[in-house]
Amino acid sequence: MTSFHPLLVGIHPRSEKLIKTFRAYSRKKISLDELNEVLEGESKEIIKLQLDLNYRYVIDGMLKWHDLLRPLAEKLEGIKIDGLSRWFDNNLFYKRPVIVGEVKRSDHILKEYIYVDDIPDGRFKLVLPDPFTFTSLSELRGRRFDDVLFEISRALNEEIKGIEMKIGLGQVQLSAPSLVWRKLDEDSLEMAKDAIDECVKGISAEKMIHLPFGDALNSFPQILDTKVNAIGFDMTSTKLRDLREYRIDKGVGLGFVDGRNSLIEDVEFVRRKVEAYLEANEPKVVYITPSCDLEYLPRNVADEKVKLLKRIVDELEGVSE
Amino acid sequence: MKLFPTQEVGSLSKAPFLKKITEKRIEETRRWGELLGVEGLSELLNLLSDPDKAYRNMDKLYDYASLFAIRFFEKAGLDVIWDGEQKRIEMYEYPLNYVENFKFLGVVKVWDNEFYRKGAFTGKPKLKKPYHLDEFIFVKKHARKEVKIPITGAYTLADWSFDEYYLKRYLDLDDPIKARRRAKEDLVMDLAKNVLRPNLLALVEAGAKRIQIDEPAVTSKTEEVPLMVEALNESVKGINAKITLHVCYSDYRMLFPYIAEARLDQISIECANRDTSELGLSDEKRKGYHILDYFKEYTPWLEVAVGVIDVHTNFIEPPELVRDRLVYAARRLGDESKIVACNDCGLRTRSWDVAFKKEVNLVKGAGLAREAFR
Repeated sequence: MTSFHPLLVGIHPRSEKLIKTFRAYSRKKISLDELNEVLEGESKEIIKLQLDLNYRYVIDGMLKWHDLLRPLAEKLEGIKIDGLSRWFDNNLFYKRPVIVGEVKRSDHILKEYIYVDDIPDGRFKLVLPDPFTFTSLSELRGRRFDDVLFEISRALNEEIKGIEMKIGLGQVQLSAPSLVWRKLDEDSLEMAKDAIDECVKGISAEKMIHLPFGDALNSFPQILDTKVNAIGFDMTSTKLRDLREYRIDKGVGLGFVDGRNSLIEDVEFVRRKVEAYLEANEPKVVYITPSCDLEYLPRNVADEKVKLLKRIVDELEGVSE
Repeated sequence: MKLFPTQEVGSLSKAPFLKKITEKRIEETRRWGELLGVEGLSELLNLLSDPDKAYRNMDKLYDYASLFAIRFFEKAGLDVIWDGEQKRIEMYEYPLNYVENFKFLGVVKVWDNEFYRKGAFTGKPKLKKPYHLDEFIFVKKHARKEVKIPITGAYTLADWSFDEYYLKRYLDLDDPIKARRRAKEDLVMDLAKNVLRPNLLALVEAGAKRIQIDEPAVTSKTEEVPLMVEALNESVKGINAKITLHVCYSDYRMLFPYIAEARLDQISIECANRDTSELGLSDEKRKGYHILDYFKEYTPWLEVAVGVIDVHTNFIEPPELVRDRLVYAARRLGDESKIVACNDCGLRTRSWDVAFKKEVNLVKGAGLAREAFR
């Protein structure tokens, strides 16, 4: 019997009010406390939205994250931040990390970046870049790729364990666009798999890999052997027919809802797609997700898609009863 | 024909009086007005002395801003000019205000806390009325130099927008990537036919002889470069004007070989940003211009407006550096008659003081390069 759950997979867009507040802070017109107050209020809204819709795992919106790599690039030893680079094929840019020494975690990375007060125990979802993606998108300045990769993996593992112990975790997700954006060679995929396993070693919470912006098959079969509980697919970039061919002994996230387009998908249309997948596979858990983070959308549209995911789940549950 | 003619790319930061009017800004206006010899300066200063009245006459202020920017580039000595886009908000939102079946939805992030207002196509785009036309007529009337009008290309307008219409046609396709691609092709080509082309026709009828099509989005998706070229060709079909394509901050290798099929006279590219600031003609010092090998191989007929001024730093390129960049670019391309001296991109992020010094040295450096080829 398959259970269905709506689930978000990354950074939520800032509201216009929050954007203005950030600007006021950067112009030194308001204090950090004032910025944090607005951030907290907006995080609460996003958390409440998911709780009201009975999301199993809840993100805090990641509103303070300028990009997915930034907290790590700012807080880990051995990394500096460089200029802007394009985030895959999006009209969105991130600041490129530059590896200037051995990468080490000497302090909490995310303490200032996460807001969990309103999230019930065991339901907080943490999203981080997968180590291969982080390393691929960094400038290595002569360091060996695999050395940096495993230093990042160990640092992430320490951080996840720390959060699990002190705050509690429901699910941790590693976002891995670099594993699907282009077809990697087998050695790279093996290395990426080992790095993911290193990253999630000893973690009790549910572990998920998410693969936005590319054909999931680019990462197969190695990604299927990672020690995670669920894998999320960008179904706007992966053919359903191809995915159906693989037996996946984990939970799956099906991202038929486009996180990069404002068109609100037809519930019936998505339901048919999910059912077509289930004709060939019987995963215990199916997460109905967007194809990627919702930060590519205006806030109101993103919130609408959060509700849409729940409507799709309701439709699926109605049918499966 | 003059070797190494000089031209700008488009934007200049807004004239001082378009910001909140203060005593300091009025003085700044006076200083620039006098330096540039702007006609009607005393009338403008009189208007600014009563800020409330000035704000009620924003159209007049925008006209003055345009005039200031025209004189700015003329005074610096450029051969081909524009008004620094003083009347535009930016390159995406402004044109789409003139397009039917498009709605703005809200802001989305570009990086960190920089956002732009993004919208969706909800039907076939259609031009409500030509945009940039009044702006062009004003510039043409007042400019003493040749004018080149910049306009955002169809591909970029589509790429930076959502699609709530075309995608529905292809949702039943088994391949979601193919569905998106087909929808995008339809949207881009409809924009080229129904928005860009009629707009360009109106500009040409009004006297435009040089048009610059800006396509900053084109190199974000390698596989879609041919689509941009097809759209550009559709946009300029029947247009009797010199056409420039401006693309910046990109891996230009992605344009090849497709760009050879584009109906273009000139391509404007950013090079200074990736060059060194040392004088000299060695390959190491002039590393920003190696890309010209591709233009030499694939499009030797095209003029290349190379960026010799970096618009993202306050470093004032000395004329000798501008000269070396141009001379090197000419040698690398193998044809000095095809090299145009240009900025990397628009100057909107620089102060007028910095921008003016940069432009003056652009002109001086081009003069030195001419002497080197004499």
